[in-house]
This record gives sequence, C-alpha cells and structure tokens, in this order.
Amino acid sequence: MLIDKVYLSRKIYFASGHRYHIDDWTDEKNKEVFGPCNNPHGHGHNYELEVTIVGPVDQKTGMVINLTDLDKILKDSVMSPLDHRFLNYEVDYFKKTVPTTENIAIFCFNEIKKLLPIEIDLHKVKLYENSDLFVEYYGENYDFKNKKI
Amino acid sequence: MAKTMILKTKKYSLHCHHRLISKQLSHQENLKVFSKCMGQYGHGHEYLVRLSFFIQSNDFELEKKVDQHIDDCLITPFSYQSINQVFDSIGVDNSITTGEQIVKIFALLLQKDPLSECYYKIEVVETRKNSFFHFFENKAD
Repeated sequence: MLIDKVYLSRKIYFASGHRYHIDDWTDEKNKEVFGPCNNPHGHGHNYELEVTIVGPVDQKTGMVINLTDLDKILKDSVMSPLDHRFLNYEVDYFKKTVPTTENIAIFCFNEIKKLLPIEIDLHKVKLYENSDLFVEYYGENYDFKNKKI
Repeated sequence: MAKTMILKTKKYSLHCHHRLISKQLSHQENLKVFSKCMGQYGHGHEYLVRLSFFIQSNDFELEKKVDQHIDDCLITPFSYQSINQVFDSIGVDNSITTGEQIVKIFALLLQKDPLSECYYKIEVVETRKNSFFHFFENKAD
C-alpha cells in the first residue's frame, strides 16, 4: 500500500493578555458569567498551540513542508499578532469577539490556513490555555463521522 | 462479562542517529534545504513512537503481541542505529530520514503483519516541537 500523505504537527508558544467581556451585557451579567476573567485589567496565559497539517511528501526533500517555511507562516499568522499582546485591545478580531480559548483557536486556524501553500491542508489546531484546558478545532463543517481525528 | 473495545495508545522509545540529505539534490541544494540537519557527521534524537490500536478490555495477549511486533519491526532494527544506514539496507528509495519519511516507513513495515489490522494511528515524535503521524487503513474503522 502506498502512503502518499503524512500528517505533521508543530508546536509554538505565545503569551497573551485578555479579558472576557461582552459589551451588550450589563456589568452584573458579565461578572456573573465570566467571574474573575471579567476583571477590567485582564490577565494572561502562556498558550501552547499545536498545528497539524497534512500533505504529500516531496520526493526530493522527504518533507511535507520545510519547517523553516512553516515557522515563518506561524510567525506571521499567530506569533506576530498575538504574542505579548492584550488581545481585546490590540487584535481587531477580538474587539468584538470574546478571546476565549475556543475563539483564539478559531482565529489561529483561519489565519494559518490563509498562508499555507495550496497543496497542504490544515488538519487541526490544538490550543492549550494551560495544562488543564485545551480545545481542538478542525475547521468549519468537519465531517467527524467519516474523517480521522 | 461483555468485552468492550477501546482505543489504546502505547509509547515506545528509540534512540537513533540520522542525517538529512537527498540523493536527488546537489550539495548546495541540500545545504539550502536541510541546513544544520545535514551536518557532516549527522546527529541524533530520542524518537518517541506512539501507537494507537483497537483492543478488547483485558486482552493481554494482544497487547503482548503488539509490544513484540514493535520490538521486532522498529526497536531492534532502528534503536541505537543510524536510520540512514537502516533505510539503505532495506532498500528505501532516496532514503531521506525526515520525520515524514520515518513515519511512512515505520507504517509500511508494520503493515506487513496482519496484526496491523487493529492499528489505528502511528505517531513519531522527533522533538518536543515536531511530530509526524499516519492513520492506518484498518478494518476496525
């Protein structure tokens, strides 16, 4: 049997500040739902992002993608906009979207996908907020019944 | 008592030497693509192999067979060896030893045995930042 595609995972780390707050809600409701995560000065996390791509292995190089090129894509799509930023104030996407772990994962997925070469698929992103909490995102309309996870 | 099918993952460790170099590229092209990974004397990693397989609860015999299979196909031939040399000796074309190629070859070696029908996924972790994996096409799907 031929194996034409391989999955590759790469991890990166970034630190960001954020605050959970929905403008349409009262201060009381924000406090009730988000607790200390709603405190006005925000707080921070050391995020770990595992990015998994899948694609054909180049016969000459034995690679799906050169890790140097992948690192550049991850730097431009994730590190530069998010690392050492207060997400609510410094990232347009999070001015109207609560920067929960879920929403940060979706942001990362969509931004990385924009920069990947066409022959390479973004399989998933796995974002750890800390060692106790992570989310995985496979993109919109992922067929969980018939596809691998 | 009814038996329950579970997906189990076991971790195995292989200490190997390798050097990234492609026979299809010139010296300058190899340097450009592989950089420090093609250092003249090569380098090594402690590779972790994570194998996920379907198993019925309390099927200790199957688990022993899987361990033995990994030992025979991967640990004995590759651990404390040069992956480049092992790839050459088993006739891998253009034996580049990237993580992508390693996981492909490991999967192909394991697939030769019918035991692999219970295998779901193999992952080769090269460093704390890089890993490579493959899903087996098995009947347990």
